[in-house]
Amino acid sequence: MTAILRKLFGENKEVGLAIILAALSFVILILPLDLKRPMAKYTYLVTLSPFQGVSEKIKRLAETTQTNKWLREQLLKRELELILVREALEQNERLRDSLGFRQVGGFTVIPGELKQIDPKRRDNALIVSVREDHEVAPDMAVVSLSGLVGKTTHVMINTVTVELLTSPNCRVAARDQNTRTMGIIRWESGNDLLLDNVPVRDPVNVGDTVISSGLGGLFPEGLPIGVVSEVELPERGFFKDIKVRPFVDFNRIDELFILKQPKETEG
Amino acid sequence: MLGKIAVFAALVIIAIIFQTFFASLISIDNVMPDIYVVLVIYLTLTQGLAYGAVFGFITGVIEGSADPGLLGLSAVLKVVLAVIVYFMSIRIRLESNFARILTVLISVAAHNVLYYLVAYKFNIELTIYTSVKYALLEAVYSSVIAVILLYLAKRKLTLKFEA
Repeated sequence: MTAILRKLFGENKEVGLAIILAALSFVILILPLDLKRPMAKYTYLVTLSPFQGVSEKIKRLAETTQTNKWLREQLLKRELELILVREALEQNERLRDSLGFRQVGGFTVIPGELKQIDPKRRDNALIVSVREDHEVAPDMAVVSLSGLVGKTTHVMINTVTVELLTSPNCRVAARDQNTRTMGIIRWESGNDLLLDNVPVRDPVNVGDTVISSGLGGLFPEGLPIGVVSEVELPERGFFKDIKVRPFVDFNRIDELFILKQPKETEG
Repeated sequence: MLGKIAVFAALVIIAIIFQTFFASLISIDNVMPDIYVVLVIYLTLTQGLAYGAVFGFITGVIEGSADPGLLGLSAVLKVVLAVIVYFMSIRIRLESNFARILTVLISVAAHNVLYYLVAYKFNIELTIYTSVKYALLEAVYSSVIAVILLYLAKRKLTLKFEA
């Protein structure tokens, strides 16, 4: 190897080696994703995965008591909410039946645990561990107990990359829960999200809850996203500037749930 | 030769362990040092460009494996970082502490900003936002650690590659 480098680059064999490595890295970078995915998968499994597994277990051990207490509290709250929701669902089904709507429901919830914040894109992507026999595919909605978190992108054997709502590539069809005004949730900058494409005449008030509308097809309807924190009327233009404070604290995500949407059936 | 490879492999494993277990523990407001970058600079300045570039390539590929879409980006930037540091070290007298800090700071900052620029598909606004929030602070943090390492190296506490 040294002899080859010396032949090619003379005395600058170190520079030559660096050029070769840079070129090799660049080739890897521009490879199609289908080729890069298995390469990344095996590199990850052999190098990062064992260490991250141990690191995660240690962290888990330390956090278990605290999380357990919090989860018990949440469970109690959700149990109470569930009773109310069941009532509402039954009423909803009756009404849908009477109006002749299609039946949609019965999500499969796949639990996941935060394994790692994406080393570089930590503002907008997470690596989440799931069971090996998972049925996760790209473009599935991901929620936490607080609300909508984002969507799945790359799927590996037991890990899934989750693109957060704070990613510029993640957009959600949403609506104001109170006024039913619809718009598109997207991130621009800072800690808040934007409810975009809301015409000036449509009502949206500070303090209103924003939920997914289900119209985009990717995210199911009714997932809580955040609360309207600021509404501004532009001097020019047709759309309002609406800021939404997300329910999910993206710096404190722990347990996540991936929602596998069932195929719609005609009712 | 085998000894060198063993020391090198150990260094890669130590770097992964540090970045996985300890970097988050010493993070300040979500800003944590990038030990891979620190070691690329350290190896380039103390052992030569070949060591820095190979280390940068290996750790770059490992780091990039977390996100298949960006596999190779971290590697190419780390190798380029090693080259930049190498040429800067030739042109600037790195005996002075100030020059050393400045070299490391500029190199790490450039590496981080370039990473975000490519990762965000040349979205300048987003790159500036993330760079100000993380990349530049991370560059300062990593530079401090790199300078401490280089200071220790100067005090004859260099890694023994002559196994």
